[in-house]
Amino acid sequence: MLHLVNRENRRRHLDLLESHYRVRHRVYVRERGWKALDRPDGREVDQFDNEDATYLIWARGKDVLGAARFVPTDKPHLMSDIFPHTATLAPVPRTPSVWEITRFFSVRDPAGEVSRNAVIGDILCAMFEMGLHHELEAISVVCDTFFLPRFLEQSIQAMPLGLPTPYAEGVCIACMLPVSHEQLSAARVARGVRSAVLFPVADLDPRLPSRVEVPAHAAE
Amino acid sequence: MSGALRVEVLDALNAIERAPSILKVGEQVRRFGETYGISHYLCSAPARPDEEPDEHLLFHNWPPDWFDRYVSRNYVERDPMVRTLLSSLHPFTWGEALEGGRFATKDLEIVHEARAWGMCKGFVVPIYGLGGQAHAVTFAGRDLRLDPQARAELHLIAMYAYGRAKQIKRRRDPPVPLTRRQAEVLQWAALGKSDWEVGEVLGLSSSTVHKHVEAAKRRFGVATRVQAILSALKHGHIKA
Repeated sequence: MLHLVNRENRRRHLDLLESHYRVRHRVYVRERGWKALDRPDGREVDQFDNEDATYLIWARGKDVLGAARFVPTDKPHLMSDIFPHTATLAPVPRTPSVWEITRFFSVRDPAGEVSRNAVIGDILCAMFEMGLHHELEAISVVCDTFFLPRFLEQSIQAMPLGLPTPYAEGVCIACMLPVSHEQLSAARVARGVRSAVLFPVADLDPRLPSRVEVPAHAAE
Repeated sequence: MSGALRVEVLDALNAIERAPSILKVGEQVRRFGETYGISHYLCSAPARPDEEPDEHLLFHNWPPDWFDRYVSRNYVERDPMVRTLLSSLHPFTWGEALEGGRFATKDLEIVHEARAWGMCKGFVVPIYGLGGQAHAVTFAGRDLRLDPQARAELHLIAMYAYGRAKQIKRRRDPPVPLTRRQAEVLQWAALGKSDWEVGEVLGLSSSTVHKHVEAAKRRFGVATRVQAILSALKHGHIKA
């Protein structure tokens, strides 16, 4: 099921956050080789894992199968602090109405029950639901270039802020994903669902319990 | 180091995103590529042995006789660029792929033969789509002017062109969803099992099995059981 973890409820989700830091270490340090993120405690945590972050975490029981982290761009974020040179077309966004997504990943389900595409698809749907609820203009991202065609082929619109730019571990690109009902609808078509993945868009309240049963179609 | 995102590139991306057909996507790619000496382009994924040669072909202006020669001689199995593609995340030139001399002379001849059709230099942008096949957009011409700026621009154009072409293709061949039961029943039917036998395996009555097969036929809009099995294979619901 998908969990939303933010400033209001993180105290109730410390275990989940911790296991998600450990899975991130496995994904980014051990598998992708991002040495700068290595820490001896086997957790991958950086300066953007703070009270401003909101997480979407897909977990079945204690197994974290995927996640994404969001930070409002009026706070310090990856594009502003580390990759400002990737945005040449327009200034790096710095507004509460644009949130940056980082650490978006999925891992293979050890039980083989949930596909990685299902996890990614759920997180993308939930991202646009969350964006609409908070009346965001866009989600910004600095990502590896190989993610971009996957958005585009599912009709999820992404506007480049600059050219593909080499960095230590690959080539990255800065983009803006507009938040709109069309984008949510494209994400839902891609995921093969008709209704809310995480919560009805209009009903999201950060004070509500964040544990929401994912409908049966998610467990494929 | 690549520089700024030029307005000409944004114009090309806009034209690609508005292209009404896969053919028009290709035309926009050709128009943009001319700046850098590109005369030919191709967007596809190498076909596996059990697939049609053009199974993943999206857009291209390869010379027809070169294309036919490539297919009829099954060059896809030996082409050094295909082999390089399958181990590359990032764009590479043909020249870079051949550095290190790890290819056999007879395989290098494939690259040399392409020169006869004006494709002396090439630039390959690997694209990993959702389907899992390693696609690529290849740009080729007599002489390519490829500085880091040009490479970054072509990389971007290739990703958007692939994305747009796939969108159009998906709309044309929308995926047909099956229920888990329908897929299971067709998987057993593909192995030649009768409704009764499938029912024994899955713990269903043979009339229930029959209903699942009929429902799957309706979803695919086909008349026979065999057609439903073939459609389920094509859409990846069952394995051969």
